[in-house]
Amino acid sequence: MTISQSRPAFLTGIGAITPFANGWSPTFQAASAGPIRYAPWPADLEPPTANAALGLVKDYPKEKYFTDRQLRVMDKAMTLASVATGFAFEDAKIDEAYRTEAGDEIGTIFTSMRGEVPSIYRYCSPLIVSNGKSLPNPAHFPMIARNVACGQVALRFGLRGWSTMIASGELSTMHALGRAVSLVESGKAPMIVVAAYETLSKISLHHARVFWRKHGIYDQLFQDPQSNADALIEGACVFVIESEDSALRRGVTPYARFGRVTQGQLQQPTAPAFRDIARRHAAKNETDRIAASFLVSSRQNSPAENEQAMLAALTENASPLSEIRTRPIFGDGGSQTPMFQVACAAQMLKDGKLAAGLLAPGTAPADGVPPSGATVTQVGLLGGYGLLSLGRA
Amino acid sequence: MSEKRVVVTGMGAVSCFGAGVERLWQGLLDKKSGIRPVSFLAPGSYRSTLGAEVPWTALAEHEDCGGELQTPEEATRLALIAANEAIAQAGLAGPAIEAAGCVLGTLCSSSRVTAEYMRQFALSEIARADTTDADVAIVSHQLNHVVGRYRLHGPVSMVSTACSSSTDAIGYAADFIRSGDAEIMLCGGADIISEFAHAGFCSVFSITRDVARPFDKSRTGFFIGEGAGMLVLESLEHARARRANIYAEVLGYGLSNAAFHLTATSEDGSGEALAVRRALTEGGIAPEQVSYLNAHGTATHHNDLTEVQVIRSVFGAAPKIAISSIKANIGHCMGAAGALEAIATIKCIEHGFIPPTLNSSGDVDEALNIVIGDGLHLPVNYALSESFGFAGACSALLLGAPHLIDQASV
Repeated sequence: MTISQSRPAFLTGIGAITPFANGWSPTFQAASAGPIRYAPWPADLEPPTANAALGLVKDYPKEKYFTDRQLRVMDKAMTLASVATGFAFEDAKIDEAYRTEAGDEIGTIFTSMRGEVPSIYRYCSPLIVSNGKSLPNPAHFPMIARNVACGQVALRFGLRGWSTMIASGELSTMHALGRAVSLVESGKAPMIVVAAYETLSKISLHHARVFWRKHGIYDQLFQDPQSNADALIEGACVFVIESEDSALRRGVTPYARFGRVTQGQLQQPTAPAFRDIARRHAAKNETDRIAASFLVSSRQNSPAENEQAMLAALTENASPLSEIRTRPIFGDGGSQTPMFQVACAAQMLKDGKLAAGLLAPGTAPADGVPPSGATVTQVGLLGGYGLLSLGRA
Repeated sequence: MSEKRVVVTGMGAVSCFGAGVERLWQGLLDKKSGIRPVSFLAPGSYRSTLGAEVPWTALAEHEDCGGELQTPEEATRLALIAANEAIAQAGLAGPAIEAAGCVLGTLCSSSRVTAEYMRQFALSEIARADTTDADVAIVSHQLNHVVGRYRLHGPVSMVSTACSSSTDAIGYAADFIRSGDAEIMLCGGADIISEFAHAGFCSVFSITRDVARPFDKSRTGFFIGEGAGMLVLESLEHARARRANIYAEVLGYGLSNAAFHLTATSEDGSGEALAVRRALTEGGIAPEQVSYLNAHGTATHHNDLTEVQVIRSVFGAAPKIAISSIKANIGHCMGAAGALEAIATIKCIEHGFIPPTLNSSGDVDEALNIVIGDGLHLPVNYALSESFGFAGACSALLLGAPHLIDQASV
């Protein structure tokens, strides 16, 4: 794949926390082995279907980074994001000494679709249940800020680089990755930690159910009990993204090289509109067409025809491409699921082979041909879309 | 590939003074303040119930959202009013604006709807079929609604970095133009007074019980305001090709995380100063070239001390730069504060006049040039606006006067 930028950005570290594994390497190994069986949706929350499933994170090494006293004033979003960031730093071979020296230049771009909801509810409950007669606990106040996990990670690891929190809903992870890559490419930031995380609670499950019903997809959910494609999942995925200079200076082996992200809003989801998106994405990455050897599809809760139209546009006039589907493993994790799409693509580019357990039926590549590049797609329920291309490092 | 230059060609505002940039500016010139007891907070329910609400009844005539696009979400309604003004001022319509992208920043948007949703959930009042507010009770409703209203199909996104959100959003939007991803971007943000936020800030003694006095030794905190600030950004080439009026150039912006405390600004200002330095570096402007700083200026004990450290660190111990805060006028508009302050900064550039920092003697540091009294007539070539928020979020925006566009070596 030809991806041309003046200052390319590389993925050099991945941190992961999922309901089935901690750390990226065990996560990818488990993912490659086949579908995960998640727990049933709680009966007291009116499961959308009899097959509805949930993936909650229970054990992860938060004591490695925080004392008991610190943990008492943190929420799960903060601890998940922090521990996953720790994993990503270990994976990228970035130790405390390096962070002390270079922390002013390490940025933090975080994103979550609904990670703050449990803490907002906890904070607000005294006020709303008592009709204003009881006041919220001041100790819970910081956690209603959506960027509090970002701030906690910056504080814990001493990171004072470019910092922001993307809160644009279902496409927010693509937006976060696009912004990080852009800041590195432009030379403004040599290194950025991008984190995506979600936490669940009864109210966030309730909201998801109501949201699905409103958008008329309630009856489409959980059709295949083996697929997990619509199972709500907690967890976190964190990337270390850095410039070529930075990666070379540190002597680290990257997973993959980022192309540029194409993002926008579909007002009319027509075939010509999808073709235009594919054409613009190819142009941004300075190729005649998307020369990826495999696609990683989102299979999100978007209308299936939009996802298929996007894939058709990307493969138009091209040889059939292999398709990787990560949803059966990672479920509908909100923001971290797209990160896992990208992580899987990057790992397969680094390995030089596609993971058979993640391949869509009938799309296996020709034997002996290592993957040269990947395009990750996201098409959202409300018309947002994002494409991200990756090349071999 | 050289990056495109970015200019401001339209502005829209809603504040406690009403709808319109001119109402905001006139309120600052008249040294008005919108502070008063918040209508929906019961007297005595908090140690202070002061705030600066927008005049909702008077705003109704400005709402032109189309029947199917009406929303119960108040911040989104403010965003649409400000966006209408900004787009009209930019002289854009039809396909020209539809090709644009949009980046917004907010903290409390959708919070009242979310509160009602949570109340119903807590009291088990939500019926199975009740799906009315599912879309509205998410923060990105504001973005989705604005994008839908103008049928935008360029790059869209939303940031939520607490009180630095909309300064961040303006810089993010400018990046889409610089990189060639868009020619026109609508950006800014809108926020409302949220009882949750008010209760929280009261609990940490940040809300004043009388008036806000930024940079005054006797300061006692801020009051929350509500409003919206929207800007139309455009590539210089695009603006010139259609002979658009240019109000300012966006020369640069910077972000950082202070990495000091989750709710307090730092003691030495070093992390906050990184954002300001990054904005100056991107713009290629030396600190001594900047003649005006629209400060975050919340009038809390910690913020103003931190900001003094930032100013001394970046501009020197006795800098000439004129400094003011408009938060004593319109309140701390949370996620919308940065966009409203950017608009006020552009008006200062346009008029060569800096309205005074209300209620302040500027005695927090006698060496600083805090603009007080009747204001200051000052030609402003380059100006900064800075915003700080919870969780260490810091953002700064560097603006240049339009008459310098052909001289600037950027």
